[in-house]
Amino acid sequence: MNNAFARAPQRVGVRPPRAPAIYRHGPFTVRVTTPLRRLRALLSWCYGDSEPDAGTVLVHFDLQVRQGPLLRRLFSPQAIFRTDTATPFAPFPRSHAFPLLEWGLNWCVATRAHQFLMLHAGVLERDGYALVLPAVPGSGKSTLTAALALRGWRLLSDEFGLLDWRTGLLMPLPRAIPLKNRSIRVIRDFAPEAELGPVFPKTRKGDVAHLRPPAESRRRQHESAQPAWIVFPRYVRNSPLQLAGLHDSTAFTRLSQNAFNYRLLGATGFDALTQLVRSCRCWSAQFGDLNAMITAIDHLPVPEM
Amino acid sequence: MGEARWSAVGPMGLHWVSWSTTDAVFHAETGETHLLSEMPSLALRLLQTEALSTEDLCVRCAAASGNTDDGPWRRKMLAVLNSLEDRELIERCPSTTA
Amino acid sequence: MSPLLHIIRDPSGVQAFSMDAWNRLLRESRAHYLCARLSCLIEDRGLAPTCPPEVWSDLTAQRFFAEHKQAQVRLELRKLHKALAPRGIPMLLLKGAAYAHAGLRVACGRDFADLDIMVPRAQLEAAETALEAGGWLTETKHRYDQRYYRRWMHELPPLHHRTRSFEVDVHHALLPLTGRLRPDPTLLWAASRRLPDSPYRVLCDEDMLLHSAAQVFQDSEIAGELRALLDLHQLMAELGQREGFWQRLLARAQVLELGRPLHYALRYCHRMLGTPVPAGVLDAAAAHAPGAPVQRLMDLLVPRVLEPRSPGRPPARMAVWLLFVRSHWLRMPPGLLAAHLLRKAFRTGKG
Repeated sequence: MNNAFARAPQRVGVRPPRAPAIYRHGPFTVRVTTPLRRLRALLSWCYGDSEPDAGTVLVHFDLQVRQGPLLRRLFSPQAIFRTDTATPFAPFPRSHAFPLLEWGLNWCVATRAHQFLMLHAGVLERDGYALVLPAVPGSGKSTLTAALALRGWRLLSDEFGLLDWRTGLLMPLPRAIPLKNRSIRVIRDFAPEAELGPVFPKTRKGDVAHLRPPAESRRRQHESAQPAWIVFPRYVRNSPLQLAGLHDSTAFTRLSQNAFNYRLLGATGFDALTQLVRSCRCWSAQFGDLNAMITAIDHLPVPEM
Repeated sequence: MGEARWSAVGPMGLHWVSWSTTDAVFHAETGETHLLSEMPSLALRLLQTEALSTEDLCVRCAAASGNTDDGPWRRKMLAVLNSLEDRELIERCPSTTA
Repeated sequence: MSPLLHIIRDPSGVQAFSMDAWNRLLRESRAHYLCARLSCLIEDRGLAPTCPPEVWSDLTAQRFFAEHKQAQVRLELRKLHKALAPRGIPMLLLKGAAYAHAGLRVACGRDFADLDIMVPRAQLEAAETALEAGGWLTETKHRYDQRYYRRWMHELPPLHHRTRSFEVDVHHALLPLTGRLRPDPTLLWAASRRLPDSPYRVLCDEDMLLHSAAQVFQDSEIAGELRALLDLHQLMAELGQREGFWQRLLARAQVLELGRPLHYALRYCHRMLGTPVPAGVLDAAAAHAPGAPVQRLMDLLVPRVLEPRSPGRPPARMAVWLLFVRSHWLRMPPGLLAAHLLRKAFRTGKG
């Protein structure tokens, strides 16, 4: 290895990063630049063909996934996530570039998209009405969201319930649903036809595999929905199904703690959340069996409008 | 103590929502949301429209909630007022009457 | 030219913007945390309707940070007032809190890192005792750091209340006690004014601008202070319209011996941001300019470290370093500086 090669690894021996690709995720436009071929392949498997960057759309999030330094690349290759202004995380193993990018985009949305009240929730839609499944640790929110998306509900989003506080409607953000550890098996058993990506072993959240968002969800990713039901799920092994109505005040309090930016939005957040609770019927649910839970959700009373 | 007059802090910036047993109020002045039970809610709503002395406030809250304005009621009201004051929802204003 | 500097100079430029130009402007604004303030500059000119709706929604969504912090500041100030007022200690608001409470346009979209207040020097110990009793704690545990603050600095070590996360800086002077320039706090108090319907005081208009100028050009490393330069720009634009402001400003700079930082503030605001400063004022302040070689050097360095950097351009390392050295030189006499740096270096080595 000669000296010039050692000193200037970023210019010699590395192919220039591929042209930026534009992906639309609901209300956001994301630009991704990466030299990692496998990452690009996974992105197009999950989200379809990207658009070329013609410079004619607003780029909400400008993301890069780069390789680590040359020497590291030989022994333990890394992937580094960067936005146009920040490097929020420590490097990941290169084989985990896809979950890294997905988490990176979550971070971007959570820290910037305050044109929405952002609930930490799965959201699905049927007949124009939206079901909100707020997350609490161990709630089984992603598993339940994935299962409902595989049973005829339209997936709006898994991680972010984007409540447009101007209209009171929920905006879709249909992206890959990350299933963790046992959930991977649960969904495979539940729906053998489910389109799961590769398993990424031992990420910081354990083993992760992604459910590809249904084509119908992607196609209708600009169609908002009227919130109608809020169900706080809790998975308890072998528990019989319990569905109990929640007081508005309890639902309000729980949602204010669940939202990423409730406090930040001030009066706007308060007004949006009180309106949301007013327009929904709220339950808490405990379940041990996915099918029983889905049947119960399918039979929630249709809102009277 | 009896001379103190109270007023709401930033009365224009109070956003309310009422449920059967609880009210929530967002306080724009401090950016905080508070859950209030019946008594503090009543006191704050009265003070939102006008400044009142402790005396007047006790009488009017008792009347509005169907309670007797007696010693225990006064003690409860003082605790409520202290708690609202501590949350910067209400403040003492200089007494105007001699 | 940087699109951000271009739009600060002339917000009406956005009318001709392509989406590509917007993307470049937003990238710079994000890097400098200026999105919310940019939206205020655009709004002040009545240009909001000319922005693409998705851009406008993205920019204005960033204003929540400033509004939320302003509410937290109001809460913290009420608590501080409750702790200090019974002991007869007046509070004077500085910087962001002052701009917001004085209703200045510069406060629109302006985020806070911390809350700065000033108390009279003679009551500093009483204030410290009162705040400690009220539950404010200092995080500076290291004894040397504690002593360093007390002996040499113009403020107490940063405080925060044990139940809240907001940092409070309690000043008793505007600039470090060790520095080359030490405006007399009693003069600042004498000229300060009480805000209407409020227990707080703020500096008079001229002192507010001089403080802001001194902070950037006397008490900082200048690099990365584009937001502070924008403060100066907006303060000059708004206060400069008040009757007799510029004459009072020049006279006041003389009295407080802050002519040099004022000269720099006027010069670089005018050069980089096109701030409307009357020509006579620029000339008069130039009486406080350094010698020609230093002036030329500053003209070379200051724009280099303040300009937004396009991603392809390497950082101005040398300029940053030279201004870093200058800032320490201005803050401490050489002997003390050497001792301070040696101690810090020794501690790092040990750690």
